[in-house]
Amino acid sequence: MYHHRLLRSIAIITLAFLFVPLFLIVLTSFNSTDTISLPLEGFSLAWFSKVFASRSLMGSLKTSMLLGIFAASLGLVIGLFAAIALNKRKGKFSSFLLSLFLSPSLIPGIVIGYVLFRMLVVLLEIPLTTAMLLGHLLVVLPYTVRILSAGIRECDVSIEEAARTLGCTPVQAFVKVVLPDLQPAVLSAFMLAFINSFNNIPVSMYLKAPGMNTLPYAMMNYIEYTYDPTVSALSVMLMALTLVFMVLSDLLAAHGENRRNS
Amino acid sequence: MIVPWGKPMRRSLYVAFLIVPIVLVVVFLLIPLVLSILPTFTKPNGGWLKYKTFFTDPFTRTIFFRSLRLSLITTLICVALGLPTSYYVSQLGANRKRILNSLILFPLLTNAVVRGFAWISILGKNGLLNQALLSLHLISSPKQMLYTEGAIVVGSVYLFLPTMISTLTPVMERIGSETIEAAYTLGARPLTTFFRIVVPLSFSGVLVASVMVFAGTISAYTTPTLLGGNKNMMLSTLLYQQSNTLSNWDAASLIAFIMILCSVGVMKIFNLLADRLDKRG
Repeated sequence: MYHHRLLRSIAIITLAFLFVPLFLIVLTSFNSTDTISLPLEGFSLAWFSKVFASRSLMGSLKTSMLLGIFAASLGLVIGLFAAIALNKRKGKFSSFLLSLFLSPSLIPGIVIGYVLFRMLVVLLEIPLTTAMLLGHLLVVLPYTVRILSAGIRECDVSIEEAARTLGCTPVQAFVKVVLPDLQPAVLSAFMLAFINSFNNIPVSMYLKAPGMNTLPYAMMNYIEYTYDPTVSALSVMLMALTLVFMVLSDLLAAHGENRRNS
Repeated sequence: MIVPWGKPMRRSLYVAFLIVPIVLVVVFLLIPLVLSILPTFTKPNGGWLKYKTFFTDPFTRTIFFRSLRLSLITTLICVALGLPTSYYVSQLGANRKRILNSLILFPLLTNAVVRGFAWISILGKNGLLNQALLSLHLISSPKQMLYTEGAIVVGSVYLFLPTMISTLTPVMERIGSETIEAAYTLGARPLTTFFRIVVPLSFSGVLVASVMVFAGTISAYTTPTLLGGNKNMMLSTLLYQQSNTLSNWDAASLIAFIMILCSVGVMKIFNLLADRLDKRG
């Protein structure tokens, strides 16, 4: 519309700045030389097969996946109950409790990792795996509580009341009427929680058991000792995963819109 | 504000639903946090003296001010680039806007190690940028770009620019085309409109996004480790070194407290400012 050339140029350069580095990684991951260089000398999938062949990388991928699914699922259930309670009863403390549940997102991740390590692992000698799960739950809790609270607030109250008038118990009304309405929020809460657990470094770094790396941390270690396109290939795989998540949540959101409108 | 709906829940159920997250946050985060930080004040030969030492010792003082300085520079660059970009995105048609919005979201959801690695391969001694500059004969020998403060800033801007843009775009959309058209009708030129109308109207949004960028940069660990190296330590890398390598709990707790003060303090100040602006506006 009314664009000034200067402003538009800054915008386009900024957008390029955001995407070019990721694009370069994709390019170099297919290079046949063992250095990260351009122009490409030949097309090769060798780096991808090297990722699959690396036991430490694949093992850490599995760890991160399991940890992410576990933390996101549990965080979702805890967050759902919390969001229901906070919105269902105007307790004196509801507002305070909401900020309490969001507070882990205000504390630097590295401080959370350090404090859990110092107190739970060193002082109380809680097993590392338990501490790791608790740490990741703390990381995902603010996301699930925030998204589900917003989702519940947007739900149509009259439908639930209608269900109650027609003889549903509160639980029935919730499961049959409110929960389907809440589905998009539940899904996006789960995905955001999973991604944040999966990508987390500072908490995992402190609480990982010996020999049990998470993927981002294993990648960081790998970069420290070797500099070849293996990490590029792994990065491309992670980007593909992110893309799948985004398309999935977009489709689900569109599906939810359609259902609501029909 | 929390607005309750439907019939209020029984108190016992309310407590039952909330007890798990309360225990999780209070028992496993807040109490350990307080218990780690308290000794930095109470221990003999400690207390304020330790904090005084932290701010007078050249080594730690340099790291503290580097963290503040780099976070501030990162925030300013994000504002300078984010304002025109989000304005541009907000003015696009619905379809192109949707595509660009998801493209901007994409780096945000991509692992910080991946994003840091991208800049290692660009800025490294044998990196893509040095290769390009050498082949264009703009430089005669590779330049040291990685492991500098500049590399940390570039990486942090890269990390938090999507946050800035995706926070500002809805703010810009709320300004509405009528306001902008009115400015044009009254004879304002595009740049004048941008600086006199769009920027002031989105100022509270800029404050909110700046807090996120500043707090994010000052607490980030991955980016300064990958791009700053050992010479350019930040508070987060110092905290990790003190606790994990040296098991120096007192020093680590002190740094942890200073980091919390920095991010939460800046948050409080900026939110206060944003509230003031909202009331005035």
